[in-house]
Amino acid sequence: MNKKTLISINLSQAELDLLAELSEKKEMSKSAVLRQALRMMALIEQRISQGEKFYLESADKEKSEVLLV
Amino acid sequence: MKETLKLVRVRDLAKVDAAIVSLSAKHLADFDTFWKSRLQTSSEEDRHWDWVNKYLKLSTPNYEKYAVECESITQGLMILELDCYRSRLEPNKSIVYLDYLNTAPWNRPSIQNPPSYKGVGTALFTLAVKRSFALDYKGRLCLHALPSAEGFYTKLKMVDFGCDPDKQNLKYFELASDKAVEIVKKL
Repeated sequence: MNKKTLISINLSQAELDLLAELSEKKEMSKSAVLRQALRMMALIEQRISQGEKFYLESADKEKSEVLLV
Repeated sequence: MKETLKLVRVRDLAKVDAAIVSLSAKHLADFDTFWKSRLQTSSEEDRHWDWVNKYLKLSTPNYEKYAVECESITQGLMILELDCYRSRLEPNKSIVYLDYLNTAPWNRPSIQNPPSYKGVGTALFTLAVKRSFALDYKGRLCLHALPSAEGFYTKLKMVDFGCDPDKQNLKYFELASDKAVEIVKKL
């Protein structure tokens, strides 16, 4: 199921630190964090390409649009 | 993707070969041809679910869709959402959301008694748990249950968080990691 392919990627120290931090916080392997990030990015890209907008909502329900380039 | 399993054929209690595969046009055609009219004329809570529409609408990479095949006919359907939910039992941890799970009308004692096959719903639920482990979510799984399915999820030792006003007041259930381990160990 879901055969995987091994690749190598170049990350800066800051990016590597961020990956390690997310991996620790979410108790997921670095590979699993990257796979989730890819799916999320593809989801957002696909919805935006269909003309939808991406918003974040603060704790007091104030919405702010996230502009992606 | 293909995962083989056994279902119980109720009429002779034989264990017959079945498989869980990625949902395809063949399964949607089975739904349209064999399921839809029987569901629509029933009093089942999911009688209005339109799987063709769901298949087309939920097409982003955060969804996985599966079907159970047995004796060349679609016996069950399921859609999982992988990324947009967070656990309530373990806040901020990722969790698989079981968005939709259906068994064919002839596998439901409420429509046909005795049913044709047993074990379809459990097989799909177990696959959802296994996907959660594969994603490194430690087996965490959540869902909103239709009232008639609440007993099924309670038996699987999911935690009942009560009615969710944001989801048509359906009860929200969550499977904890330790219970997920027990489910996979039984395989």
